[in-house]
Amino acid sequence: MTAFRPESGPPSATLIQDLWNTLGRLESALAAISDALCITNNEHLVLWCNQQFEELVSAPRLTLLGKPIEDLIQRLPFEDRRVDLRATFQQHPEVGAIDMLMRKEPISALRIEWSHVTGENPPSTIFTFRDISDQVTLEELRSQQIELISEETRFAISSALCPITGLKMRPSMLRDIEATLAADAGQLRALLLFNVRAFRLINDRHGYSAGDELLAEIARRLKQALRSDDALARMGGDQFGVFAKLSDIEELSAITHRLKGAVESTPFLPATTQAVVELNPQLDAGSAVIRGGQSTPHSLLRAAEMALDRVQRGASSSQQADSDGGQDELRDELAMSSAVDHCLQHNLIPIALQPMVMLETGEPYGFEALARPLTADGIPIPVHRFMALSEQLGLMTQVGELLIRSTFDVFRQGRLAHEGMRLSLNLSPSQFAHSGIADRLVTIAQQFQMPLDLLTVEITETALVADESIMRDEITQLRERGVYVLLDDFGTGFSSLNWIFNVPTDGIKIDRSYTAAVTDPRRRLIMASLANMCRDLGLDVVVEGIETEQHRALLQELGFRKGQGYLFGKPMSLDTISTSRSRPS
Amino acid sequence: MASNAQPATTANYQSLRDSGLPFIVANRLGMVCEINEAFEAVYGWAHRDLIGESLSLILPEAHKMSHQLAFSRFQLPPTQSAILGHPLRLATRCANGTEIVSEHFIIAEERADEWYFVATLKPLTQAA
Repeated sequence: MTAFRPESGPPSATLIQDLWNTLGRLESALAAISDALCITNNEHLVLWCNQQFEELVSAPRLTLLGKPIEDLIQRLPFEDRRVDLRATFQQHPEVGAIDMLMRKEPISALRIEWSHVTGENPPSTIFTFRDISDQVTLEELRSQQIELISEETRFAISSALCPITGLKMRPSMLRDIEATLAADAGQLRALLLFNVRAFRLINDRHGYSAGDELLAEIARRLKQALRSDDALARMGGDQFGVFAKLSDIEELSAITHRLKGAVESTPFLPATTQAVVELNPQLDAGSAVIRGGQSTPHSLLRAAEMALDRVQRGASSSQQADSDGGQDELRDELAMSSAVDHCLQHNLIPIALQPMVMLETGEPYGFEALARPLTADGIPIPVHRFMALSEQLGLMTQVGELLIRSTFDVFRQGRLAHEGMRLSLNLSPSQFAHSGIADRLVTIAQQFQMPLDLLTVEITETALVADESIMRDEITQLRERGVYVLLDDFGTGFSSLNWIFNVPTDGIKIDRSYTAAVTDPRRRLIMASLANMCRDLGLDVVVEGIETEQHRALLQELGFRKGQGYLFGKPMSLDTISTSRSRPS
Repeated sequence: MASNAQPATTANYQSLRDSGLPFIVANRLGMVCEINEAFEAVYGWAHRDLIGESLSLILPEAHKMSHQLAFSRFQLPPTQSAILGHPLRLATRCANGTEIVSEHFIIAEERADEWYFVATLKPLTQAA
């Protein structure tokens, strides 16, 4: 290839530079105007907007370009949603203005003005949005808007289709249920309700556009997984409803799993976020069963809502009184979200280290790093929920990397590598969803002077890895660079043995549930077989959850050499480890 | 690739260039001054089509005005930009008029008193 040479470039380079400077000053001036501005082409697709318009529609400019301006305006929280702005623009294409009420008390109103750019063909249009809250009365706004409501709009309201998902909404669904029950009494049916977990936080963090996209995508996935006899609707907010015909009660569980699986199995990347964000939608489900004639649509809905409410309170581990359940769930989610923010803002996730020992001597040969996230108020929160929320909010890349950095930092501070101690680090399956984790891990290890031959990566068996070949490649790369790879929580999943053969690991960590039952002769037989199999396959084995001397002795008898558990030490801070290690033995 | 006449590259510049991803460099005037073979292969542009031409050739129509204005703002000190230094999802126009949504990572580098805009592009969708 050849490079561009300034001397052979266009002769008007000075002119171009002058024009750039002029445009730059104009753009700065437009950004300083308090009104929100937007320029569209002749099809009303956005070509440019200022910062005030970005703030008005809560979305960055890059995600707005090429979008129809009517769609963006329609998302604004107008008090009266019956005004058909698209029709208004069509009736007055060249120039016009309309005042829109945003809030009644205290009054908040927005004036939208538009005009063609004179002389341009086809014409572009400039839209201006001005806060006129202190210039109008409620009565003036109401009288103006009543005139604008068209007959078509009135009809559209009564048909009640969701503009975001294209689905029927709650009133239509209830009418359909009523009609179905009247026509087919005696058939077993169920109403299933699904709520999107942490949806408020997704909206807050990534904007309403991303939230709307997620709802549309969930609707699409549910539709695809639906049987022809079943009906789907958006019941409101982040809630979807499915009215399904059942052959027997057992079928309900299968339908629930199928629909949840259809939504949760694949991450979703919204197109309207400026940065690439990978959301992992999770649904809570509740349902109620009906045989025609025994109940009304409203009582069926109420029963399903109560079932969903119970599930959600269980999921959020709230211990508050029933009457305050919804608020508790929100507070719980907000506390989790604040913990994620707190860690990202402070660039640190607290890490505890648990010793991994040789069973014969009880001497540690390394430590497993365990995240101990805290809220901004210093309250510890369960790590599995912290990680799950990070995934749901599309923050797993940042959180995962921060976890690696925090772990290496603690290990470096403790100078544990100098003593030849190994470091065992847990990686989330979602970190293997895309190529590159091996490179990133090695790069960060080098930054923190973490020797790769002392590093172990623990991977949890999961069925949720989108592309197993990526995971295999990344693990192979890690092992080629000297990193040791263990399959964690072995024995708790559905396909542990498959994983041993499909994923190139150095060994396994046997789950604590097996250790707790090692005193049972039948379980001990399984453990003995595992020990033999691993020895024959050349796999290393670490046994987790060793809590008593009896566990230790039985495991040693079976031929296990390495383990960890409360008998040898709980997860502890670096300070505690340093103190205990400096004490004379 | 860059000719010997160009100033030495910085570490960031070099790491993007070495990434193996489609790669494009523009100068302060917004003219393309370097692309790599991966860029040609993915987006279909030949070297002769782009070198010395405006960067807006590879932008979808709806992005051009905003790009020109944002680019112009970078000309004024102090230099600041919301698009530099982190991954961005943007559509990229191919030589045949189709568009590919790609993850752009753009940095601005000052080399011998001249600003260069250096980007890698990771295709996320098929051409459409």
